[in-house]
Amino acid sequence: MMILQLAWRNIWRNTRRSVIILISVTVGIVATVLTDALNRGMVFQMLDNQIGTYVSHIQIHRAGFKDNPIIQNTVPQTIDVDSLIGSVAGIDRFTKRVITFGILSSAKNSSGISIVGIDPEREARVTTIRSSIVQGEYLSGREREIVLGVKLAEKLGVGIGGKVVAMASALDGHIGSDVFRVAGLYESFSSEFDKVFAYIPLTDAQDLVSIGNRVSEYAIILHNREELQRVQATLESDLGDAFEVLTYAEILPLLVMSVEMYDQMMLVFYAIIGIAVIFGIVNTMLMSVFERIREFGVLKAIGMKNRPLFLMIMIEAFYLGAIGTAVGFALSYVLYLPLAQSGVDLSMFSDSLRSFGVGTVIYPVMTAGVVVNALTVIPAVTLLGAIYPAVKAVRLEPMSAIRYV
Amino acid sequence: MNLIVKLGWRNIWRNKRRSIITILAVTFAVMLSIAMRGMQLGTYAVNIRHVVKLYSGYVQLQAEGYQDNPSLQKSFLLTDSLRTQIEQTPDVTGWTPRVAGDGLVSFRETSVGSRILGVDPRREETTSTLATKISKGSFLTDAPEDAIVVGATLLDNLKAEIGDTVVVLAQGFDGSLGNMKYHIVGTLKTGSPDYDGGTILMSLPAAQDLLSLYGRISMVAIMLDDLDAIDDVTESLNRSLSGSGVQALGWEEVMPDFAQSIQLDNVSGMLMLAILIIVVAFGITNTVLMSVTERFREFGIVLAMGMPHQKLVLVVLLETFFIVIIGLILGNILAAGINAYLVAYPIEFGGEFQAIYEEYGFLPRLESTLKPTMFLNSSLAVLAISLLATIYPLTKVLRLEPLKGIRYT
Repeated sequence: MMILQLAWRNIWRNTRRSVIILISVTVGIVATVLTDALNRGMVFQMLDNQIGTYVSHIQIHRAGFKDNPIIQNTVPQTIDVDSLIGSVAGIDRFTKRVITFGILSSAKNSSGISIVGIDPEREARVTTIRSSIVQGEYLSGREREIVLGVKLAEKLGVGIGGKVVAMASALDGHIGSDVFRVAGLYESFSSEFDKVFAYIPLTDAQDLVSIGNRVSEYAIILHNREELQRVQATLESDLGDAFEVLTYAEILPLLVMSVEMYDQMMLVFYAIIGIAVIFGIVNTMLMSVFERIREFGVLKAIGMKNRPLFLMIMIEAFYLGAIGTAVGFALSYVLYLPLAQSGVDLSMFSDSLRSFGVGTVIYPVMTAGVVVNALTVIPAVTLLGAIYPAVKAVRLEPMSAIRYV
Repeated sequence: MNLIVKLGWRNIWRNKRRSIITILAVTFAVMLSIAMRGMQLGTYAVNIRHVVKLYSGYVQLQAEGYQDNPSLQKSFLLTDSLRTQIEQTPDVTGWTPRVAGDGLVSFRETSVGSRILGVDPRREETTSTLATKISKGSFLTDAPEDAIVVGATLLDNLKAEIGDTVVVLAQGFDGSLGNMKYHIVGTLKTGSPDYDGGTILMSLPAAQDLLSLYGRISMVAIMLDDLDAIDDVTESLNRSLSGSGVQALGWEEVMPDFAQSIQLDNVSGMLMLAILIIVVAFGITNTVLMSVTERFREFGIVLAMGMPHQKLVLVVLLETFFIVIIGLILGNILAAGINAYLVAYPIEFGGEFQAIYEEYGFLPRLESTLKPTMFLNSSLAVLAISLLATIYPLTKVLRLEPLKGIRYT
């Protein structure tokens, strides 16, 4: 107990030195915490945007659709999937889609696209498509309406009310084609998505590719993302082998891997800042030990054992690390709160961010991981940095130390 | 002056341990800065060259407005005067005309939307690296006009094989729909999901035929030897082309998302290094402050003997300067070693990292560079921030009163 008090008083004997080392720890902490939160925010946004714009939490297809998404692979009608989904606990809402590759032409130009047939009301509850309309209207339920990305519309040279022809190969191999009127234009977070996906009413899509009342996929949103595995297992066992039940992690494996990659990159970043902080700690502690050589000599001469002396210096360093971390973390939290509200505007990189599907405003996210990293790494590092100075102090010969000038 | 330099140098070695730790801190900061900058800049350069050589070209000629709205309407005729203008531009090492359109490729019951690229096989071989990215079969030749090369993933999606015949349906320049049969002679595997999953290559005349372009082309890709010549070439071409409706664009304008990805990574890398250098700088402030306060009595005596404050400050400044310079030299040597190693043996990523890099359009490879300006810039940044870090201790020295210094305990 006395050692704790000694160590505490020791660090305030040279206030200026302690304050400077505290500032360097604080700067390190603030920088790492905010960078970490921003990076996590960015990766989460990429994932959330993908889930929200199209992917949803769980998709159901005919087995093999993921590898070969052709129109022949429609969801089997051997089981009443609609009512089955309704009976599984944990599922909040779902929608049905028809998806096919096709080509969209206007009088001026044409473009290869993915045609998505949707039930407008249901789709709007599952994804953000309705709220990403920037011009015109969302699908109203009338026939032969189409909603396109702004970029695609520019390429085709059509505006609201313009006519486009959609072509796709039908179930029997012939090329089906139909005229659609542009009802609205959308802009999602991803420029790649906007260029490729065009929405038409479900029944029109079914007619276009002559698949009757069959669909290509079910997209499901859960009440709680944590229940992903359980719901997937339930659906799989209820549906059997003729179906494939995929979570967003299986549909977007690269994005999920990116999240892990960012985690690893942040560890490297923490390590680098940690090493930079270590140099400061070693030097500061070493100087404070050498300043006190005579004092340590006296302490030893009057009977202080090596262990408490070693401990005392380690605790001094730990105090510095812990106070710096606490102040740094408090400061980063104060800076983080308004940033999390307003987001960080990176519109100067808008083209790049939109090609990644992030959006131009990034909202930092402070997760438990960020907090744990911030609160453990630097205090641990300061302890490491104090070992060498503490060993120096312990090795002192009491008599020569007392005479040290 | 000589005395002051000597004093400064000797002062460093009065507390060897402290100086060495400070030198190590500077060495670490410099080494890490240069090694990381090297990896970033080296990797950018390799990626830019890779992407640019694969397809876009360092500079591209396009009809005005094509960049924002790439349609067949924005095509142009490759006139003889245009040819001579390109060929007479200095630094141009190669060029090739292309046609780009969209179409639907069908094999049996499967159809996939795809980009149709019409290329001049001979010219591509000498300008771009497209011809070297054939994974199966062969590249296009001049002869049979119904030959196409298909992206490797696209071929799988179509469930087709080399030698199969596919139908390509496309809307032409005049708005009419055309479809023709082609047979697959090879597959293209670039590593970019964009190309591999949605591109077919055919000969220029075949594409002009399918898209009813009658001799018109969509772009000319121009190759140079040197990334630094891009601005000059673009400017000189734009001067001679003004009023013709055709313009020259550098790769950064042709692929703004790619250019910005590099910028974004660059800025975040620099920010990280700035944080590192600042943390190290606080360490330097502390070391100098300690070494200064330790010597207040000594300074007091020197001042009392009549040494001007400015000279004393200069001595302390020189001490820091020497420490930082030694750290800079060591750091530069170590970093040069790391960078030279990475230039000679780039790190190739496999597995997950490879997939992620390719998805975002980058080569799955970590390279470096030994560009002298990068060494210089990083070193200057560390030097500048280190000297800034001594300002506070120096003001302490400047304000020191001789008597107070002598009595300082």
